[in-house]
Amino acid sequence: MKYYVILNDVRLGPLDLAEARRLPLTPDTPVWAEGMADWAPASQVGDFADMFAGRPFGGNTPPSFGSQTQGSPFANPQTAFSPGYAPGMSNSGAMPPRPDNYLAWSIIVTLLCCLPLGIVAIIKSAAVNPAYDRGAYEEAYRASTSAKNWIITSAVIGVVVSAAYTILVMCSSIFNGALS
Amino acid sequence: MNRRTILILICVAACILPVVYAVFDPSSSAFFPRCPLKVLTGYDCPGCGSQRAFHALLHGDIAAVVRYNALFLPAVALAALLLMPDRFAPARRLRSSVWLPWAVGGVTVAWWIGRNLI
Repeated sequence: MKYYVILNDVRLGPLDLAEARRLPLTPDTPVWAEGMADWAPASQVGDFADMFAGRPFGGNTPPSFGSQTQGSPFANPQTAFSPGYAPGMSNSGAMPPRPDNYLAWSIIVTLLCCLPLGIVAIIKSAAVNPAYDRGAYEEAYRASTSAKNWIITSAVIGVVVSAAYTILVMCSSIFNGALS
Repeated sequence: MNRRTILILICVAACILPVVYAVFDPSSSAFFPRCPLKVLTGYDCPGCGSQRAFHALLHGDIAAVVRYNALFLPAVALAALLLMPDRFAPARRLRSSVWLPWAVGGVTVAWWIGRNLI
């Protein structure tokens, strides 16, 4: 179940529940999830209501959502969530998906390609999630690409070295065979 | 080389390599690549023994697998787990883990150094 949240006029999401709950939500933060007809204040959305139990609005009536979001991209939840709507990474404020840290391949390459380049790939893989979790999305994507490149480099060098070795062995055995 | 080509190559390798490693024994056959690091320095790298371990695995000799490379089975199991689709929740959690890559790196380096000291 994916959630979307509007904080400071910026639409964040898709988030999973744990990620959404970690945000600085207020009782009237607009929240939307698949299946909901329209945005609703966080305090009225079942999965977040417990975060605000006992916290009064301070006497203010929450503004109606129709007027608040008039003319903004969030006015119509349907178009805002149509598959064609790409949140974009740079400045729309929406959270991009978590990049792959390619850890599985870093492990495989370290196990098979002998040259310790695989360890560099593991280190690059290690950089991805910390950057993503603290919101440094560009850095996370750069680390992901870097890990991928080191994996490819290690694999290529590993294959080249192995092929060269095998060819060398074949040549020397042919050579030795020819001599004897 | 586009993504589909790579995928095809991996599938072909995945079919051919187990057969090759099951039939031939890397310890006795000269055609299997040797570790450059070991050849040059005499020291084991983290992956040394993986080929022999794979051969032993294909013949069911688990004791030999551990003997040739103690990290072979854990590493393969972990890599397989990490490659599982998002629907499989443990895989998703491991992929977003902050500590796991560091643990893998640390264990790998410790293994690399340790196996050369023993």
